[in-house]
Amino acid sequence: MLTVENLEKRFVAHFLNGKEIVGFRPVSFKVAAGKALGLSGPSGHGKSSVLKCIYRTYLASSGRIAYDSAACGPVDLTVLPQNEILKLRRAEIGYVTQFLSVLPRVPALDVVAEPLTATGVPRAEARESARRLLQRLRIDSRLHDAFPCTFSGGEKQRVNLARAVIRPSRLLLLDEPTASLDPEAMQVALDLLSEMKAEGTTMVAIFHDRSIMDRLMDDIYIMPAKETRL
Amino acid sequence: MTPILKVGNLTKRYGKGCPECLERTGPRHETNQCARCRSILACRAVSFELYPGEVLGIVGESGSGKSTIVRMLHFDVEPTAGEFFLRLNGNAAAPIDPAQNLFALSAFRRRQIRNERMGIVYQNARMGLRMKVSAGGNIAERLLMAGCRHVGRMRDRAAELLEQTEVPVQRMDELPRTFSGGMQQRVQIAKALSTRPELLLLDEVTTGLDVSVQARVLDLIRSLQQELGVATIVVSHDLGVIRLLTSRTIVMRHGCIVEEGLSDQILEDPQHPYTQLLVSSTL
Repeated sequence: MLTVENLEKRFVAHFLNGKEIVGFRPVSFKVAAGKALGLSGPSGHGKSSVLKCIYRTYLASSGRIAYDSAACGPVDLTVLPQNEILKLRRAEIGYVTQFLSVLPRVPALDVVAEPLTATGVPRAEARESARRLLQRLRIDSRLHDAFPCTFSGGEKQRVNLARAVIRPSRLLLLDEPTASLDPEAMQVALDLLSEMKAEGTTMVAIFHDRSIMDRLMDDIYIMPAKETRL
Repeated sequence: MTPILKVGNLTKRYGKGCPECLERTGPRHETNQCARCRSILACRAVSFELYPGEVLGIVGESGSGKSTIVRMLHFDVEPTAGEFFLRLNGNAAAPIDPAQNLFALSAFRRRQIRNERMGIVYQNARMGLRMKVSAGGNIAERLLMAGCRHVGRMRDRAAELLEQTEVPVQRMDELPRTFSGGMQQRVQIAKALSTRPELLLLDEVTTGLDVSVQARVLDLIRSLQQELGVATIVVSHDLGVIRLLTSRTIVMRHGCIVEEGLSDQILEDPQHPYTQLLVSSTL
């Protein structure tokens, strides 16, 4: 489903006179359809950068990312045209970060419903599934019409997670989606993710908590060490 | 997916020009003025595409040629060279041949395409609105140009648009110059959307407005964009606007495209030295 081959990321910092900063050393891994792979390694070894390269927020410096898409067959995500990437993001690749970065001044319900409305689901219907999902994640219904930028860290993270799981994804990239949740909310979040996995979603994930890794992941990839960042 | 807009080799030169213009200008020389003939290349060999429903951002410093591009696409400014193709599937009276370079068309035909198929919002409301004609009249003018001849229907449509853009409908018959800057901008948006354009051009729409009004105008544009799905080009030097509205971004400098990419990539992993400077300069 997803094959990463010798993927490498170096940042060229022009403001440091063109100095190269190593994002991560070459990584290679394979994830079969419906399986989950955990990325593991100390901070700064580029776990998040790998996910960003797969999502194309970062441009890979070398290597390839082969992905079997439902819409256009096998593709290399490092060189796929931009509009195709946008199409995949809308339809089949989901990405959850540790931080919620959404538009200000949009009610939580609409933030969560947006991935559905973007694929053509009527607004009322999308809002209804968003409501159910937020309730399940224990977000008080009084907060549904408030702006997420006023939420607490844990609430924001749940909104973020809800956005990702509201529609089925073929490939889900998870960057510590449960880092600031209390144990109860964490349990619900993990249940949601296990359900998605049971429905056949392939996952590449980063969790700092080893017990979650063991519970949810089928395989663990240890990031190659790098001597120094510069 | 086929692009609905395709621009190739778009060039605008102010001045006589000489054979060395192209070599003596551009980001490499840090200028867009030719050292030999003093001509200014506002925009040089710019090519890009726009896909249905997409919002494309153009960023760059003042004088980098962003607005020039939009004005050439709106036929306000005559290009020195270049090609411009539109593939619109609407059922307007005069269909556009997708293989026809629109810059080669007659002035009449270009005006017709502009009035029926495009909408533009300028930074300065004075450019987009007639200050001595009422707000409703401004919208009606555009409907009139697009062939509408029924006064009652024009009035209804104007009221509907003003309501949509949150301008008090009871002020429809007042002059735009009695409106605040934010309201003028919203009347411009209403005017631009009046003919249900398939291509919307936004040229620095929020520059010079205070932040709360900026936010309202941006929210309005975003919700209208989501609702209508109209392909849009957003010119701005504000990266916040780009982050909020666009999916792809073009970075311009000295009349050239120096970088092009998905907006989140441009903002998080900029490649070109100028883009890195731009992103790191955000407050």
